[in-house]
Amino acid sequence: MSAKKERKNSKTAINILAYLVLIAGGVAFLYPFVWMISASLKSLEEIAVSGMNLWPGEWRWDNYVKALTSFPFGRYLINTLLTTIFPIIGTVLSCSLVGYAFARFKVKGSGILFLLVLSTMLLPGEVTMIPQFILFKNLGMLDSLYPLIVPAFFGSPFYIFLFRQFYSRLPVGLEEAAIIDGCGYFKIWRVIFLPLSKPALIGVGVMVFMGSWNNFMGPLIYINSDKWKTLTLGLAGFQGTFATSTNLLMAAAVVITLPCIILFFAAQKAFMEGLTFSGSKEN
Amino acid sequence: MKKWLFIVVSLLLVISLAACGNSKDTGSNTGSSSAEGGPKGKITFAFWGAQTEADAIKNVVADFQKQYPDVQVENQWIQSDYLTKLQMMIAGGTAPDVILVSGGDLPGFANAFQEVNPDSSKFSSPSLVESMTYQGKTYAVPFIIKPKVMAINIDLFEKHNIALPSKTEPMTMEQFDEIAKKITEGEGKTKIYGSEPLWIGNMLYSFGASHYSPDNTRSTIDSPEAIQAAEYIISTKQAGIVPNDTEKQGQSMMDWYLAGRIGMFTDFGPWYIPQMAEVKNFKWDLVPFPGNGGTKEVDGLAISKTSKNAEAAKLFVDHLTQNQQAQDIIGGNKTAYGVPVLPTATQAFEDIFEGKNLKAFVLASENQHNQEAQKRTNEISKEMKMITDLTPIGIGNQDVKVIFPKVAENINKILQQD
Repeated sequence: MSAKKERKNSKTAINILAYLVLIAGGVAFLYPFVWMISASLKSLEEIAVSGMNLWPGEWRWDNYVKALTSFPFGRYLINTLLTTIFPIIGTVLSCSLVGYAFARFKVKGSGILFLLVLSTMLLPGEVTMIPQFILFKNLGMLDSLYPLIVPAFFGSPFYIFLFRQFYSRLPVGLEEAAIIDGCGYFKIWRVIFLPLSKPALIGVGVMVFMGSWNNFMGPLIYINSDKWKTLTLGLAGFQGTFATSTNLLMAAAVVITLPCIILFFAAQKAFMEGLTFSGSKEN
Repeated sequence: MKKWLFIVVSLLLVISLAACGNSKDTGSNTGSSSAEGGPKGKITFAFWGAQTEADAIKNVVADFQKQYPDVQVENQWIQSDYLTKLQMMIAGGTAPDVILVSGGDLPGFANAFQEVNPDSSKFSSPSLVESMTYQGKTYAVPFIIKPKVMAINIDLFEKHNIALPSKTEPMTMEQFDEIAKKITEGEGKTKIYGSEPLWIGNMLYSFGASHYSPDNTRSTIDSPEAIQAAEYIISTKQAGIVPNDTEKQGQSMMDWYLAGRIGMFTDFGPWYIPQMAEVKNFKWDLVPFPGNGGTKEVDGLAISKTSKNAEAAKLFVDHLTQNQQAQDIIGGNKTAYGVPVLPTATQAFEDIFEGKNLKAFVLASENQHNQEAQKRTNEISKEMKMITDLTPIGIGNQDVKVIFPKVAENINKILQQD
């Protein structure tokens, strides 16, 4: 009886310890976000003197008005939405289709082809930056949103890999039954595989959303005129070479990061499932 | 029903995708002459800066457009990584017609710019055209100057009964040292320091040293004056009149100055002025850099070698750099973008902040040393990093008399490769 009680006590102690560690970790991760919100409501002078203090002495709500009216927020938001929604659609469609082919068509050389696709991940972005810039110049697509959208429709090695892993786990019987019922390969992908891969679709969707929403280098390189600029470039505008309007930068950052945070929490479960499902192959 | 919805959504997507670009030509239009014989057509103009700085430039461009409606200027404001994007545009054959360039970056881009021949007597100092010159050829026309001055906390001066420094004459380094020691007081988190940590790049000039020989072919970082500047910086750390390495780690010294913890902020450029407008907790003013140290950044306008409308580009550059109204607009901008290059426009800059000695910037724009520039900036910066890595100026403990000559030797090897 006492041994049982002891075990129970030690389990409680471990639980308390685990919670303490998790709470400490949570605070460490949460603090920068809270600081960002706090700084967005302070004056520049107060940010300089307040140190770790999070409570604003004087609540400067007008920082939000100043931040969001100092650049064409609405136009930048629309551009950001366009360069986020289309890449999600493009990536999900192209990568799931290619991933399905790699997972299901066991033809000669497909392994080497898959390795080739994966090996493109080894190329650092800096190497392809100038050739890609010249490519889009020759296509007449500079200073438009196309360079930020079109590549997504041609697949991405990492997401192809994720879909391939996910589809490899689905039972072969599903496909065989569909073939007996007269389905072609494209219809099998569209009617059976695509609906079954909801966790992977959401996982990839969230990752592409994060990448596109926060994409800075792409818009910086390809876009020149204000008409096509995105929110990340708007944020960079608060940061000078030497002096930064920290309060306005933080106010704009709060508004801009909000969709990312909401989306992550809303799709957290499916996102984690998508990642773990595609991590191992077991039939 | 489902099928219809699919078709409608697909159509909407296709329409919005089609609206993601325009069919306009992304390159510059070929220039031609208008009926009156003046240049016309489109030019592109690239510049960097924060939103407020970009707005200041856009105001001058708008003024130009009013006077020359036949020339259309497309602003290319590059918010960040300016040099990377510029390199990319030049490599990709889409270089803007007019490019804002600082004297420090000019040598690296000189090959991409047209040679120009500005009349140096029109500007406030002959050194301005010199800063746009590389290997005997001038590649840009001076547009704006960003010198360094020293901001002082008047309350701290008064508290210690220290006479306020001259507004026009730089204090000597001995005077600076004496005042910094008097201001320094307290311990720990409430300690007040005489100055922010001093930067060798500024201090060299306070001690009569420089980075390179007058012909720019040899490093002079090993000169006795440079060693003296280095030893002085180390002595301020040892005396505790500047925050030490641990204290300054990850901290903005400007924030410390704004919090009233620093008596004299030496590395003060015009970009800090809008921030200072909000200061209410202490009295402050600006005085010349001690020992006339520090350097001024001169930013100029260059015309791309590949410009298809060089005539309009030249008209634009001449207007922004030599037209009184244009210089008044940029110099008088409330964001204190910089000191105008025309001597007749400096008053507009001085009037930005009533009651503050902005004249210190104007004096520095005439007297301060130009930023010294070389083509192989990255390699030279790497060698210069040895100074902070290995000597007590930074985190090291080796003797500056040993390290500085080594750094000079390595830099000279790099310079010989040019």
